[in-house]
Amino acid sequence: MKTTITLSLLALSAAVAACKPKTATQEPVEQPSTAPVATAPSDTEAAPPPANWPDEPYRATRPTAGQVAELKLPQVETFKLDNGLEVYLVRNDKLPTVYMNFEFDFGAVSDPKTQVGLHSICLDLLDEGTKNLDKVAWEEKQADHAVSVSAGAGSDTSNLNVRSLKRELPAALDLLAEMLREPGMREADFERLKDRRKASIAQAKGNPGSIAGRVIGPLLWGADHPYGRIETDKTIDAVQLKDCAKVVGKLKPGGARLWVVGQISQDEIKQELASRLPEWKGKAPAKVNVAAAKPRLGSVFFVHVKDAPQSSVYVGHAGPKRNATDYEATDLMAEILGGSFSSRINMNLREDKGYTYGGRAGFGYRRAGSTFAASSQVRTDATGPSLREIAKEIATMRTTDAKPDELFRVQEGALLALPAEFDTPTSTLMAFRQLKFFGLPLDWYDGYQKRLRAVDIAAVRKAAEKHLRAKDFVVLVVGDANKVLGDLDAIATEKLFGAGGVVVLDADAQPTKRPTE
Amino acid sequence: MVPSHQLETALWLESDRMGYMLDLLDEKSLANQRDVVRNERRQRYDNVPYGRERFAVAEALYPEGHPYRYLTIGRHEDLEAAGVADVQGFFRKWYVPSNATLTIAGDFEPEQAKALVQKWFGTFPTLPQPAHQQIGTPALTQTVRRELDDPFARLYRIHYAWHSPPRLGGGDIELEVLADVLGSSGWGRLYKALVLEDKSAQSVSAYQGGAGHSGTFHVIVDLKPGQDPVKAELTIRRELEKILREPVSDAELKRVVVGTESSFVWGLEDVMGRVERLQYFNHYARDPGYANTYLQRLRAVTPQRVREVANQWLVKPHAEILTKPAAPAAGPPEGTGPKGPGASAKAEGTGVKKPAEAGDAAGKKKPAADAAGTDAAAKKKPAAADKPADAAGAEKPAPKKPADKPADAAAAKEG
Repeated sequence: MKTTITLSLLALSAAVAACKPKTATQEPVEQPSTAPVATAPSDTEAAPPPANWPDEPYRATRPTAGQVAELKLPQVETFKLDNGLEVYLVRNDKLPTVYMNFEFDFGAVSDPKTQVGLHSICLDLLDEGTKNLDKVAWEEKQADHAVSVSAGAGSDTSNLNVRSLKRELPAALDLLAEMLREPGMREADFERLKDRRKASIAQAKGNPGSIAGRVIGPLLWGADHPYGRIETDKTIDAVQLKDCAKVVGKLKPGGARLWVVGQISQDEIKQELASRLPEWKGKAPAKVNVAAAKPRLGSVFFVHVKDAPQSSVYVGHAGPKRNATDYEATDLMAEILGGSFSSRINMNLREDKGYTYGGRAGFGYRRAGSTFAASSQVRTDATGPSLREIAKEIATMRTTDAKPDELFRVQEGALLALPAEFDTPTSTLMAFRQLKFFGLPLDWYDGYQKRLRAVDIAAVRKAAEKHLRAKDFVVLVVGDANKVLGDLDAIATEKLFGAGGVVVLDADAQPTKRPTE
Repeated sequence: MVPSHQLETALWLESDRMGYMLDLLDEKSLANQRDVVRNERRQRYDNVPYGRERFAVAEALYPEGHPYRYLTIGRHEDLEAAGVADVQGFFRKWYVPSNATLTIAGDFEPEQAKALVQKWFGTFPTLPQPAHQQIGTPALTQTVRRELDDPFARLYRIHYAWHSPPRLGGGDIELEVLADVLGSSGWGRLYKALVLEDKSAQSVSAYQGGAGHSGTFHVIVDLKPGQDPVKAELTIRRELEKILREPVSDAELKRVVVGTESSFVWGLEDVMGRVERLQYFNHYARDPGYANTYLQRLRAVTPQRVREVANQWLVKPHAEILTKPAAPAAGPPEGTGPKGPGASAKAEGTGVKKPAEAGDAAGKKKPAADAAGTDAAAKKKPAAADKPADAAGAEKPAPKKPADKPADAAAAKEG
């Protein structure tokens, strides 16, 4: 009758396996010795006979759904404080909660090359306490009120966050004000945070998935690109406590944005902030211009992980900016290729070939641009074949028209996903925040449904021709050299993805020797 | 989640699955999904750090035949062995209306929704409710201690696990309080001792992981590279002994209560949070409106009572699973050292697979046991509310994360 069947089977087959009694050899030493317990159902237990499910013809037809309502987005109130902070408010009077997110236009893109991690380390340090409250006292105070006051840096922006029940908001904002006025910035916390990051990096170099996540950035964006630099022990060591005072000093209100959702009014926001932070003035840094991606096209990059049962594979290149005029067509095209469960790459690699638990492709938009990547974690012995299938799917997307039912599915999918994207006041606020982040107007969603519906097969094809490459890709494989390098050599020799050959890297994306047989 | 005008479509699909899915099950569709699940196992357990450890913990806690001994993902050899008849039998026994609860939340008229449920599910046959065996909390007669080599781990992990009460069973809330007192980031006792004072730990967590038959109480500590695990274990034991000896402070208890109340409120914002809350309480307490009782029970907890419950459960033999990390790959592999890929420098003990090693795909030695979905579900407090996305939120690849979809589809079975 339909296609949902395979999904549920997946859950079932595992469950069946889990129910079967085990007969394997006992390891006496390490068996738990326990009092007797009831045992699992035995193999011999008879399965129930097929039941008499009603044969009702109406079940063969999908019910007719009601009309989709035109999208009416909740309002965002915008206003400016005297100190220049731009405020965006989505009210939610149904729950006694308030969430505030202060957003500043600086982050890892402003890290010096030799100090990758600077902004992130310093913002992490900021929320470790204040002059009067050491780390423990600071955390206890938040927990006593069930509030959270935190700071962090992303790549293009840095943020301060306040999360609180309405009744505890004064306590939360007191802590925020104290943190901004007299941050702790203790040497001991600073050193501990740096050690922690180094340990995280050490762990990230341990398995294929996390290594690939670490190495793909410099390959797709370029090793010297602000989005492509990677944090190492060396760049962390280069960050000094005194650098953090400067970074934290950049958290000024002028031109920064405050995103608020909850049971709070404009007037309350103004009063609560002005009464606690009267001296908070000055201009936040203007946003940094970041260059386009410079991917290292044409090579098959490889990182060796001994005995990995799966390889992480990526095939990618640079992509368009988020504000490109053909965004909707590009998005729907990528959805057909590798965006949804029923996308070509997933259906091929997972449902047809059984190479993987899931495969995807799409454009990852950053503020300054995007990169395209098709990726999957595939069974080690299917590494080469998976790359070939991905290459085929990308080429097919470029050189042939999408089928009408494919387009219909992703178009409807995008339209019908909209209510869920604006499901809560918080997700609504985040959608607006993202528009602003990309430099798009706040009324961008007006007409979005119309723009989606206007995409036709020709537009999808055009987007594929324009935004997918015909040759020379970045390919990254992280897996077991013994089992996959042969395939990769063959693929490189055929120049399937370009003429750059196989390039062996370490987990810091640095060239290294090829593992010998 | 469907748009409200598509409610009936969702009911149509779900009723079709319940009544008629087996019509389309055959060797071919099963074979493909077997590959998919084995790939899932590789992705989520076999190719990541601390995957082996999850099997080992369950294996240490539960004897052969206990349903929690085997993680829901299954063993490769069992997945291979599962046939069409197994799936049919399982489906016919368990996936029946008398064993299912439907919870719907959203923007609709209740009477209309009831009529639709009647239309799509009301004519289904009344089938016998499958017998749910009652399994008490197992008891270990001695503490099981085991060391594991994990080629993907780079940090030493200490994992202690005790048997404990089932979800919403007596004593579970006291253990949840205790878990927060021990493991909370910043002010938790183990966090303070190991992360802030010793500076030896990378992370600390403690949680009461309830499941239907019985629960487990966990303490997990990851050490920074080069730290002494013996010393860390002594600190963990010191803090545990203190918990058994002295009541927690009023301030600590109050913090946990207010934090839990707050997360209940935050959890009400989204429809999924509401529907899951109802389903959760209905499933484990047989009362969808149990939230109020739960909060009353929480507010009635006393420091003395926490100590009593700790002395009831945490003094018993338990599991101690230690994961030894592999050394980082040394520079360019091979060349000067012993021949053969992977013969490069590694910590003593890694690489050589002992017979007892769990989680080996091909191994037919020890059953690579699995801790029955308990772990995935474990950390989920009834009211856990997601923090609104922050910093990186706007910078993640824009609107969608397609790769999550296949995973999500399958995630249901993990909890």
